[in-house]
Amino acid sequence: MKKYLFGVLICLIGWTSSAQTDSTKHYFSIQANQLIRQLLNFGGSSPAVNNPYLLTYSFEKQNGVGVSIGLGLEADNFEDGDAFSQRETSFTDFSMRIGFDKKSLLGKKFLLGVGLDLLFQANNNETTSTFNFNNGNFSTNETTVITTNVSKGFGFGPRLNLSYELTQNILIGTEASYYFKSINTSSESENDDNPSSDFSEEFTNTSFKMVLPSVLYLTFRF
Amino acid sequence: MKIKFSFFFFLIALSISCEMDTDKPVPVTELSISGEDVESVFEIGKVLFYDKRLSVNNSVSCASCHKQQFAFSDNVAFSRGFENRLTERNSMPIQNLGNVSRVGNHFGNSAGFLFWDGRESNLWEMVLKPLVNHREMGIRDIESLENRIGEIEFYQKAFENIYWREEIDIQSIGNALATFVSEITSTNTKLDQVTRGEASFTGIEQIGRDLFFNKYDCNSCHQVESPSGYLFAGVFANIGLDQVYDDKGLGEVTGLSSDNGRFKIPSLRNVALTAPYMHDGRFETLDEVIDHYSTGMTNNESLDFRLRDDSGNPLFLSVSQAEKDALKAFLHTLTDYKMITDPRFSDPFTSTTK
Repeated sequence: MKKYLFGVLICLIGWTSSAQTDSTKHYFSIQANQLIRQLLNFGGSSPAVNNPYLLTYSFEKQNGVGVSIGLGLEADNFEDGDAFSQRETSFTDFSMRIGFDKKSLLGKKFLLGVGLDLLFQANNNETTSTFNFNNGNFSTNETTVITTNVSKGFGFGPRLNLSYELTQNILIGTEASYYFKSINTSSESENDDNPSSDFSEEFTNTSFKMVLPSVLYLTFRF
Repeated sequence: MKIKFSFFFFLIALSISCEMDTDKPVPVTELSISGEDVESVFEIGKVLFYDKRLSVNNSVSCASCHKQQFAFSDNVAFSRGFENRLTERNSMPIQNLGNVSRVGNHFGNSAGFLFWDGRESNLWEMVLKPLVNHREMGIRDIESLENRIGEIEFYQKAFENIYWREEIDIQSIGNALATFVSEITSTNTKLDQVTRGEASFTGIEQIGRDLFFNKYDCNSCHQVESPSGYLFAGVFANIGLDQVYDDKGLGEVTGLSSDNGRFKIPSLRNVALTAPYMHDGRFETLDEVIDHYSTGMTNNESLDFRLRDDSGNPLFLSVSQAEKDALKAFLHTLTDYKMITDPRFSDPFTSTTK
């Protein structure tokens, strides 16, 4: 399955690079929810955005048909803790999608996009937790546990975009999608104080997930 | 063109910086624990509730997401689990659960519905669910939980004192936690004191009470005079939060489309402490919640009948600012300061290492 997906990906990228002509329109989009919230904060009632694609690029030929690519990357490393436990977490979440796209005008100002995407996502999470416990009724106990979760998966499904032309080159829009995903996750835990509680397991999750149009994309057209 | 690209990359950089989030610090507690003082199942349950060793990497306890000062809820939309990953729903307050989930002296077999989607009715089973949740406390299975607790000397002695046997099984762990949780009761709000004739409302609180019980009939769902808050009001409601559901709530449990978007009606006791509100913490203040009922409901097919007018359209309450202030004043009389400061429910652990 992975080979087929990779093959399709190569074909799409090849077609992307060969299909562009002078009349091709390019669309660069960026998720703008947080940005807009920073600039115009009307209160904290915005629902959470669960669309991982921070940046998208698409192009359309004269007939409105084109290719759309989306990328998302979130990486962080932080420490927290209290009197008993200290915890360091690092995670990397990567999401990518590529698919066909058909754009058409809806009235004078709205641009409707319909697409079919292939998805790939990879997540890596490692947490190191050190626990200190020293009390009169307990023996001194310092334990370090490292948990690691690595997941990779693919998916596919339809997508719908709707954008409004603010100017000739700037649009604002949103999208909804309904993706099938198959995610394989491997989890490991190592306990330096009690190796008998170590575990390692692998499982696969499949799901159909609807992503609501809560994301706002600021799009630049060239 | 250069200017356009510069602006574009400036926006990218700005947006990425906005995405970065800072984690909330975990409060440090200062109390003491002594195995010799443990004389009841309740007290073992309390120690278990606050013990981080119930999570797979010793980093979170039940109390990490259910904090006493917030009526055993959390002050963030989504709490963080053992790997700092966000949980999927807002932490519900823990109070008066003994009334809805316990019959006589036995846990379970009741009409109580627990969690936002009511998937549990048995308190004994409910308290174990976060322990084995892959996002919350990460224990792999019940057996590994028994082993983990059984290896800790304190619990060996405490359980032996009570059950007269060395092995610690899941029944006794669940029973201890459920006993502690069911004892967390809120019965000393100002409303309770007024009802008992021990206090009286201020003018604005009285106006808010009249609006709550009469004009807006909030009591038809949130029966605040009941210690459990649930009697006779139905258990679940769709309050018009969404047209399309990212989280189906009760619908995920029953599989019925008519249950989509229906969530448990929460008790309003201590509501001033349990922000943010709703199953996803979307409203940060009581003002926003009242605004939702006032003007913000969406007309979906499962919208609760109590929130519809005679024509079937959403019954927007159109609460004025003065009425909102009065309603908030009344809602603040539902705070039980005794419960949130009662040492009986407080963290028994103390730091001697730092």
